[in-house]
Amino acid sequence: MHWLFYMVLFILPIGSVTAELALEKSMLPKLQVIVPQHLGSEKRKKAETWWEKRDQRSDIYYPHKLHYSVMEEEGDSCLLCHAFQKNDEHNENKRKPLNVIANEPLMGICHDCHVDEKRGPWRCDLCHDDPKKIWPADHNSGYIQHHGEDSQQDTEICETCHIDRKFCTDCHFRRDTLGTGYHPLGYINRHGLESRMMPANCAQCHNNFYCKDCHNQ
Amino acid sequence: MVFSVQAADKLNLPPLHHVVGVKPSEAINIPDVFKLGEQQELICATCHGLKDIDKTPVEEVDTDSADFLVGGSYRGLTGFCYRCHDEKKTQRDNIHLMFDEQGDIKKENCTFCHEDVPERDKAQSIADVKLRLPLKTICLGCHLKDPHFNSVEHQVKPAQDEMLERIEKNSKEQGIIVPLTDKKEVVCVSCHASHQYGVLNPETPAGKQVKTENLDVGVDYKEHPWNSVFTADKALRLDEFNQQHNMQVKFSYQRIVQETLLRLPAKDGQLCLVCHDFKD
Repeated sequence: MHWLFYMVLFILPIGSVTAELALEKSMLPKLQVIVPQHLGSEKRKKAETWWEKRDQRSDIYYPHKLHYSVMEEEGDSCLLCHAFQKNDEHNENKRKPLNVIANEPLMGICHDCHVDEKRGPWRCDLCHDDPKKIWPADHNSGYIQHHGEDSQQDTEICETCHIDRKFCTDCHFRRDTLGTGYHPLGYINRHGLESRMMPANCAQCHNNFYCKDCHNQ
Repeated sequence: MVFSVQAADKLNLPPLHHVVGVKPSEAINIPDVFKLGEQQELICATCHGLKDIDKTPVEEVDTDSADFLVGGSYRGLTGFCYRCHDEKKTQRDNIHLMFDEQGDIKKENCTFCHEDVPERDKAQSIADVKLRLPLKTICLGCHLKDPHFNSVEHQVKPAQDEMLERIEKNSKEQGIIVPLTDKKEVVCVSCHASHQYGVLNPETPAGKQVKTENLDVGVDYKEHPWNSVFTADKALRLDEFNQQHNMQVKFSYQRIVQETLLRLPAKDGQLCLVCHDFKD
């Protein structure tokens, strides 16, 4: 019987890891990956300037031409991101790093339109072809099993990338799979109490229509 | 009045260093914090607060120190100069203002850069107009090499031949000229037109440029809400820079209202796209 015990001991974890991977894969948002044209396989020279380094980065893609029309519409130009402002620093050792800071736009500039204000398209994969290249290190292994702890504390940091609440509801609203629900089994029978005590909690995921679907019947 | 200061004679001073060992004239207003020598002459300690700077090799002087220049740090070097020199009195006429009140060209302004006054209506090459200095350095007598960000980075030969081809093609299409040096280097006048609008025939490639209504004012800006986004994007990096160099540099974004002496408008990107292009 010992062999049976050890077999169960070994097979169970393997099975759960396989299930975890399958679950993680199925729960990832379906990304339409756009491969940036500049990411070829040709041999490249060593990047020296910030724009050469940026051009060789594979985690970020910036299509300049796609921004022409919106810049024209809003009366902006290249100078919006690449500053040609007056320079008072003439010591090369200081001017050079200042020049890079002034001219290299980082996340704050991109995300203002594409994330914060959502005036531009806000699909992550438009600029980031592979989420693995930009996600936090703790997402690399089994994070899906532990994300609940973080998300219940503060969703703001999650929403830096997971802008659309569908990212949550695609799994948590599923009725065809066990274990993906946010609420414990049978919660529907006692949700009334919490909805009266802490309606703001419900509103994080549900809108009024969700309630009315049943309560208006 | 020049004093013979033996110590100063022996100093190995960097190029363009202010003269020492002279007694300033009465027109120069030396603040009390600027110490003079025993004979009221300029000494190292007049301008520098670093201890024993006169005994320190030039390359070892800590120019990042707030005490490098007395009363520092200064955001711009001219701010330090104007502690003693009168800003208004030291200013020179803007030679780019080339029309007098009657609308005639001030020919004396031409000879700042040209050996002779060129014939206005005759199409001429760079060689014909007899510049006093090579194209690469002609502006540097009055302007610094790095008056705005990106200026030094642009003053190179384009890394790709296709950019040179693009410049030739686009400048023809836009009806402008983009002067480059013999070595195909971009220089100040590749983007900037040095003549006031109308001095050269605006119908010609050499004379086509942005028409500036008020050249006296120069480049003019207005506040823009993007400033908060721009400064936030730079904040962390600037903090690190300022801590490292003990400085207080701040960046801001303002939208250009009036452009000055440009061959094409930059505020809508036209000028940039003469040279730059992107796959997507």
